[in-house]
Amino acid sequence: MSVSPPLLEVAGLTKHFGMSAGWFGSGQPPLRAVDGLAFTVRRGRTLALVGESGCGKSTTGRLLLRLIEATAGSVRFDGVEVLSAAGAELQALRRRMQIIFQDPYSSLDPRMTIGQILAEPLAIHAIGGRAERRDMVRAMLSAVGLAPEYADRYPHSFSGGQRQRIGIARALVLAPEFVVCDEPVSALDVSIQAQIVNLLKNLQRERGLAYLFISHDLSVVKHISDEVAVMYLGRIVEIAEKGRLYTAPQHPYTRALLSAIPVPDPRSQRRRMVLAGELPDARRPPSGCRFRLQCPFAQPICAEADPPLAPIASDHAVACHFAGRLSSIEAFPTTQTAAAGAVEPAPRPFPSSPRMEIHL
Amino acid sequence: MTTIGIELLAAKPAPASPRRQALRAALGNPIGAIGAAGAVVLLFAAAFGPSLAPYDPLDQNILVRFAEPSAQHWLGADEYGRDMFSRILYASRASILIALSSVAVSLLIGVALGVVAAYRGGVLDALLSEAANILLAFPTVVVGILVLVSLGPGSANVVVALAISFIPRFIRLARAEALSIMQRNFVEAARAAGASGLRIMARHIVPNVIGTAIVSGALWTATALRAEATLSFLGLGVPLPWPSWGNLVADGMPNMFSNPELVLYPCLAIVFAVVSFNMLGDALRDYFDPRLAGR
Repeated sequence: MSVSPPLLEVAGLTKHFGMSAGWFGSGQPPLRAVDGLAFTVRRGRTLALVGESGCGKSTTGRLLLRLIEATAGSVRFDGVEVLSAAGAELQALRRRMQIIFQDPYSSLDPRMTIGQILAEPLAIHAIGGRAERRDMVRAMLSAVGLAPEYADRYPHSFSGGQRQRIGIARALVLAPEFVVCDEPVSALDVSIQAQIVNLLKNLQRERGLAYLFISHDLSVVKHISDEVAVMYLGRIVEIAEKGRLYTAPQHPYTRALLSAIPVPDPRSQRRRMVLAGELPDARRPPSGCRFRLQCPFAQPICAEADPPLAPIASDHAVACHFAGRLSSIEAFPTTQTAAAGAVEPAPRPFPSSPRMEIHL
Repeated sequence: MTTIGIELLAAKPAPASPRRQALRAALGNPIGAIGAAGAVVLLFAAAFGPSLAPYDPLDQNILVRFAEPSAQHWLGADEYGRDMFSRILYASRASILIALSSVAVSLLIGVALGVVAAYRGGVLDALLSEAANILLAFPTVVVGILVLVSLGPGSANVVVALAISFIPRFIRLARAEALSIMQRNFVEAARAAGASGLRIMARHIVPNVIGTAIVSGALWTATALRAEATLSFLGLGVPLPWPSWGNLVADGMPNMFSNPELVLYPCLAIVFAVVSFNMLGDALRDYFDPRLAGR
């Protein structure tokens, strides 16, 4: 791995919602959507942020771009502190950091032509004259695989995949260095997903882009990421180089997520890890380890001490008391061998307890 | 290069301008088409009525007092021998001008305030919304009477009175629409690109709000016509002897039993205008939101 200095350095990033209590006071503890995140993204590389809905991954993306304001923490982009930037400094940063959205329908203004949509960022930053912008828009459209003539059409005449290409073009027209991809393929048909992922990879290679790729789909993440961070309830529970994470996951939550990836071979026998219970309320997280209520390996210490995210190798950090020695602990009988395609489903050990499978 | 030519996908075969498509949708609906035609007739009468009118609407001619409709006086004459057709044409100018301008003023002010309230939020939003709610507690005609009693009668004051009553309705409409549009990702995308609040409001929010506001503007024009007629009928609107539809009804009242047509004609004009603008609202809705066409 090359040792280029990180483009983006995040430390202690925190967002609490519900702090302003309103006239009557909510009396509720704040919702800790993002709680002390730290990670780095290097130039031209992709860090994937994965987790269930509600774990704070989209909030993280928006915090980095100052689309919502952080409660605490530090985000340094190429040495500049993002969270305190203002005025011209912030404008300069906005030009270098962009975002691609999940929903290709709500991300394009229906009252503007594609040409107007793509030219707007250029106009805001006073780049080029009218004719020059027109050429840049057309060039950008062909770079994302769309005909330049589409510039005169309105969004409603395009399909979801085409709209997502337009959204990518809008993000890249300012020639940014860092792009937050907020579930960019989750709303698309599977056949289109591959095209968009390949487009993103090609654009990354051509333009040296760094991505923060937010997703709940580990099979997509496997294709595009260099590093993967797994989030649970506002925290990173495991972050590792992709190969390590997929082959040797250390956190029980990561293991559960990986075991839920569908495998195309119907005869394959897999150990399927099914998590018990539901995601705890982020306003009232459990004591100690936040994952312990759903964790099949939970031990007494897990209720007492909150495990920090600690490195177990140069490119691998885990927030678990038993990182590296999970196999020595006997799991509760929530781990079961499920033969995909078996005639009889394996009997559930505790039919009365609420349980949840993670659907990815 | 691999990026290009993965697929130069053909867009759906609809390169026809969306405006033209929308127009087709709007006029394809018979109710909308009738409403649009009625509104055109009314606007024509308001714009050119005075130059088309055969007589001066104030000219009295005692010889034709209460004349029956004839070749000289198409709709007859009133108790002072003034030509009814000319009076109704002149009245349409006053009534329609007052209705349209009061709605236009309210729409501009109300949409601007509503969008700003939604975008800025906080204390400004709370103040504007509460003020709008308080004003909405009063019916249009009551607000009109209160304002005209304090400002005095007159066409300009009628516009002010109706605008005070309509502005809060546009504030509420625009605020609600703006709040829903602000949830859409394209607003976030504009902020991520560095767009100022003013730019986001002017380029993204207002254009997406204005269609709905214009549709309801057509409906409020119908209400404004009725309110203007009511206020003028009460002697608070267009000052006599100038005709407005409300004035004409009031003028005809003393002789309603012997000459009911003098009340009937201006009433029919009011009904025609109110129905036309209501139907026009339908057409405009189809124009601004073709997806709803025909529903």
